[in-house]
Amino acid sequence: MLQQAEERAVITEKLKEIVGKEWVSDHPEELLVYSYDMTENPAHQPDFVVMPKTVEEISAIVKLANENKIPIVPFVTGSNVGGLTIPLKGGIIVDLKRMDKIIRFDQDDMYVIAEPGVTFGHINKFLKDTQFRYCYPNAPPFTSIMANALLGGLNNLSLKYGNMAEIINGIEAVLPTGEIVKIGSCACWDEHWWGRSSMPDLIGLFVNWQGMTGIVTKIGLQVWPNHPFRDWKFVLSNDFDSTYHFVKKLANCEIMNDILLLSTETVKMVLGVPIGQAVWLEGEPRWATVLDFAANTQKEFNAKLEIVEDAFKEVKKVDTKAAICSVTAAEKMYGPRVGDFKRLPFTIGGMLEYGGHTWVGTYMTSNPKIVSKGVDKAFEVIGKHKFEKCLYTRMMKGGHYWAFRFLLRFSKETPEETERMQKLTKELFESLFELGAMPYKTPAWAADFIIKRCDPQYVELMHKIKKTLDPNGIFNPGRWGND
Amino acid sequence: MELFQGPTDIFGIAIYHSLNKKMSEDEKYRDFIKSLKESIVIDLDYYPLMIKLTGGAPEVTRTIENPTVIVKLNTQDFLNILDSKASIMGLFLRGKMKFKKGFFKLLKVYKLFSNLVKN
Repeated sequence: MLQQAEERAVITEKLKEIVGKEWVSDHPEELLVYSYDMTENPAHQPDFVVMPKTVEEISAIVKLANENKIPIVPFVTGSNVGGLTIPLKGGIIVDLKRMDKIIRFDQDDMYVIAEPGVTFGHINKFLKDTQFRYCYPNAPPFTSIMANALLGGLNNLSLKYGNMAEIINGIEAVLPTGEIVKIGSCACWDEHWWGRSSMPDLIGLFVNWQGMTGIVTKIGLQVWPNHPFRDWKFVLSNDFDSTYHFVKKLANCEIMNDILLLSTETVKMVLGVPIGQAVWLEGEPRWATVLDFAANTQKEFNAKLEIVEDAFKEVKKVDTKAAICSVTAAEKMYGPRVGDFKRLPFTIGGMLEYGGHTWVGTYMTSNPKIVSKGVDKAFEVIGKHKFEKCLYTRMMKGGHYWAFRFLLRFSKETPEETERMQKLTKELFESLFELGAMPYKTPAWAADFIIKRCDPQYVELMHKIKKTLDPNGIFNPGRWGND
Repeated sequence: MELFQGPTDIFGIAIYHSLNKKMSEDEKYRDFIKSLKESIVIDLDYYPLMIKLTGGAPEVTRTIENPTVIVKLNTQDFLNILDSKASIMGLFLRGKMKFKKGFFKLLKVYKLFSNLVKN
């Protein structure tokens, strides 16, 4: 943090010259809001917050920061559950919410071009009366589509298309030294953002880099056709192995939009069971699977349903108490809350109401033995630390890999509970890493663990790239060994 | 945030929620429930739970004490009723819904559940 008040005042004035005085603050009460998030990661105060409107303003801010060697952290809503926008070394928070336009929608090539402040709620509303849909995580509607894509988040079409980074067509970004660059087909033609082929693909310089390589100011993201016939099924079951086999089989059939495999605790959390009470009780079904599928015709729909029901019969042979029902039946039993995932983007119940929410979210192999081992190990660790075992998993990209994560809610009222959660996330992450699970939206402490254990040539290459792009090391410093 | 009330077991939540919702929307149903003085056990294949009707707010619990009615039913059939794929009477006539106790209260149980699963 800048120590001299005079120094700070000078920077404040220069920032005001760039964006206008109403869009800059160095007031402690406003900086406080940007110093922490809902996770267990410790708070760090920034020195300034600035809200630019144009890419030129961002370029000017970046050049100023370089001249004065002030850290910069890009920010939209700070809802990334990895503590990724907490400014570890202080500096300037560049809050991008004012840049909230959907610039273009190309219906032929099925993509939108969006600014950083475009949220899931915005895009849902934008596409509502069209034949197209976007893909949604179980995140609140006020979160940024760009941020989620750049962090490789999962979503309700991940079974088909993988994590959200895989649907990026192109970007415009301000580099850490202030230049403005376009990557993808848009580098040649501003009217064509159809994809990343066939030039050397530099999109990866911004994906999962957590804002360390520049500020993305526009992003081209794929959208998908809506299908007129769509339905969801719930499956309750006890036996993990047969349930997982069922999920993998359906994934390999390539007929589903999405498959979620949840623990009963997760279902209870969604239903509003208070914190600490979402526990599995002896005799209850252990797992809930949510199936999402769609079709163009009734005939196609019926065929898909038949495949689902046939696959379910195999579960029933092993797990005789397993049961399947429609989401309508589930809503009759539990109320509309249980069907909120149909209405994404939506704030899924139970997750955010106690102030603290975090997760150890990983991508890993879909090998059934390793997944099963991961579940057992994770439940052991979470139980030891006395938190709820809210498992939330998703088959990714046709079964090529598996999203394996826990929704961990806690109360931020007491430091004791936050400390306990810090111990849990560390132990849980390390246990899962040993099984080959890679966290996405990796918090700084986890990144430090990983770089000590991965290929040193990879680490060296990463640092080389970072140094080339950001010679002064000002972009979100303190992450992935880039200090 | 609405305050969570009632049991925290997965089927108890369902029964409790459905009962209270139906009672708040349907005056006749509410009066009917309040007129009942029964302890009805739904013996699902997962676990049994009890609906205690004592004239006030219904209580749904996993503690089974002095049941006046015991109905045995498996979870899939219960879900099929909700999905309108099966009827209570049909399940009963096919022997898939069995009264282990309180057979003569069949009509009360029928009225309790058939109105509960209606939209």
